Amino acid sequence: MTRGVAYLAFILTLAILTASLMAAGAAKSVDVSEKQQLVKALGITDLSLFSEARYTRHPSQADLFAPFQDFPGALEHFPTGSMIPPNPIGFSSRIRIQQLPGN
Amino acid sequence: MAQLLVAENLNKFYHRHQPDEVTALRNISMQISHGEIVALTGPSGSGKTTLLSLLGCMSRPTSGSIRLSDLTVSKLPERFLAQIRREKFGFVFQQYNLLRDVNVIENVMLPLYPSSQSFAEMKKSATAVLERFELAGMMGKKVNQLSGGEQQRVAIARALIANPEIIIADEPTAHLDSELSRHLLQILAELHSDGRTIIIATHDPSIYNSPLIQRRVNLRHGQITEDTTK
Amino acid sequence: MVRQLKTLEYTLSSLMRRKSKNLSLVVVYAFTIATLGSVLFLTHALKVEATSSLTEAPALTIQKISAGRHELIPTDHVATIEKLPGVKSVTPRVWGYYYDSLIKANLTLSGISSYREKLELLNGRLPLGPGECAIGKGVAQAFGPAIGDNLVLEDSGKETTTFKITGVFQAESNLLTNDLVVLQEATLRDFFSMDQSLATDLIVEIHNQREIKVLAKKIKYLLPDTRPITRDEIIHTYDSLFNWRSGMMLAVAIAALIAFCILAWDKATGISATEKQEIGILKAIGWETADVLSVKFWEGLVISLTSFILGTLAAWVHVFIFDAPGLIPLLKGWSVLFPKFQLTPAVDFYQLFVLAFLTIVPYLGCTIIPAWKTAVTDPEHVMRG
Ligand SMILES: Nc1ncnc2c1ncn2[C@@H]1O[C@H](COP(=O)(O)OP(=O)(O)OP(=O)(O)O)[C@@H](O)[C@H]1O
Ligand SMILES: [Mg+2]
Repeated sequence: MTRGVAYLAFILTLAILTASLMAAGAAKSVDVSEKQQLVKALGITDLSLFSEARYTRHPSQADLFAPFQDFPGALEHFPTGSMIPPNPIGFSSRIRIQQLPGN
Repeated sequence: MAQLLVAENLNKFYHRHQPDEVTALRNISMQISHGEIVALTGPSGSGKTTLLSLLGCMSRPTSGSIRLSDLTVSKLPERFLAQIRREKFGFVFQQYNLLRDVNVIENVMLPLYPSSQSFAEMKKSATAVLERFELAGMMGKKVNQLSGGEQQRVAIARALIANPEIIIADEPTAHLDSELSRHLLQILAELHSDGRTIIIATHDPSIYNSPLIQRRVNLRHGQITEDTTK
Repeated sequence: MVRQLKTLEYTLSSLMRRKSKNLSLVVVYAFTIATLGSVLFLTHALKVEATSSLTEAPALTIQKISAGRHELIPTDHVATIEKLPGVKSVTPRVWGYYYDSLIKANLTLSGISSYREKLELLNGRLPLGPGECAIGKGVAQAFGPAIGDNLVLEDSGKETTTFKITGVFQAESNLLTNDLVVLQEATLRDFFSMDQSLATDLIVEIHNQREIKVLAKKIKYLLPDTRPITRDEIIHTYDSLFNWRSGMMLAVAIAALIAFCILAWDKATGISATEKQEIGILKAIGWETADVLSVKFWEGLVISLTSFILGTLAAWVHVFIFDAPGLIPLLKGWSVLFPKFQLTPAVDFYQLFVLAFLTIVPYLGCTIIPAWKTAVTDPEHVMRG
């Protein structure tokens, strides 16, 4: 019955490995106090995850919900976005960096 | 002598009540006693295989009854029939019906899986029966690498592993040359001398005319036309 | 027990017989599970990330809505709201977006009115004077400046303003600060040329946390043109954003599930002639229907359990060790300033259980049912070949 026992041992080891990985991850209590401090100090309301367009940046806040705001490829949530092509005027940078000597 | 198998008024129809209805067996009544060795003969399509499968509890008659040592098996549900097939019968099929790609010893062990034997015991029984048929050397070989005669012997070994009372063989010599047929007769003689009951369907005159066969039952169009005991 | 082990033994040897077919089955199956599992792990970890840190978000954010759109809110409202019992403080905020069309990045410019000496996740310090700013890691990486450099922004009037960078947020806070440029409130008001009497929104802090909803209602009643957003609503937004039914989940899950259904369908319809023959032989030599089915059950279980465990393990490694390279492009979309983040492992065992249930059970069904249909017939036909 070697094959059966070998398989059971294999699958059990694998299951225990996976479960302990997950349990270890879940048990590792992370300190969120620093992040909470930051959120409180800056009054952050949203994750900086979706910066594609202004109206996706703060999903929890109301905004001027207008698609195609700046970036021509910025599709909005609805099918309309794929049918009405944006028409940008041109590109230019409005941001400059002054790298100071000795820095 | 006590009757082992008693069939009464067996009828078997295929596709009942349909335009293509086939009457495979009609009004068969026969008795087989302990230790008998019976040959079923008859032209192709006469119902030999059908009768064997009824006697061997593989299927149930459309009407009529079969008793196996006073147990009316024709009425039992499939679950019990499987147990009876396992414990009482050993089958040697016309096409061997071994599992290809599976090695010899595992093929022989197959009937023991549903038993309460441990795996080690199963292996021991299989090895013993293979040794008896001089197959011990090819235990690890895949079945599809064996010759026809070797496959035949593996099939017989498998039929015998659970030490059955009754051996049912359907045209066991169909694929064998006369040399191997003679060898098979020897094996049958041995099994018979162990006290087993043997039912064998065959076209082969060298089998049903051999002195070993005591009784010949001839079928035609699903009916018994002749039942002679030598 | 012995019998089950024997059945398992038989199952394994019969699976080995069709090694390449079953191996490829496990690979496809495990890949499907890994895809679905990755989405579950990633969205859940993001959700935990959001909901754990945003518990300190403003208790109430008051926006003004005019003609259904967001509008700047009059600072007069501060006095009205402050008078309400239970209100600790009301702070007008100025913040907004700043788009750079060359690198196609959207920055968030945010004003602060109070200074905090030490922030754990900030290298350097917050802006103190009018010419200073603190920036997120994403901004720093996109434009290349360090603390001490100057950030020069061009305002709507084509005039440039120079800000000295006094702080850069640490990478651990990327999910919160990646695209931020933090300025003094007054500075930002100047930059946006926003009138003193207006603010982007108002933040209300409250003494008793349980009264947030009540106060929100009162404010809405007193100032009908406002839209109060409670902290719970913010958290709820992220809760549902990374939910089962979120777009991300749907996009990936549907594709994966369809692939899985094709697999299962193939399995269900494709019980081969050799398999049928095998079942017939086993029945003929004395196996009961239940024995045949338990072999098939084990067969399905071995395949699906192995695949499931391998798949979840792969998903875990993919998301929490390699930071989900396969899924990030989906989240990222067209974002230029996309935060690099390291997720804290978090697993929702309930979701995992549901995933297991939704994949293992149908697969078992697909293996057992066709075999059952074959196994209940009389084994007689094997005698005829
Ligand atoms: N499943 C079935 N459906 C319809 N008819 C069948 C079926 N099985 C057998 N028959 C018919 O039953 C009759 C008896 O068949 P059986 O196989 O018993 O003959 P046989 O004597 O074994 O023939 P052979 O010597 O060729 O093996 C034949 O006419 C056959 O066509
Ligand atoms: Mg026949």
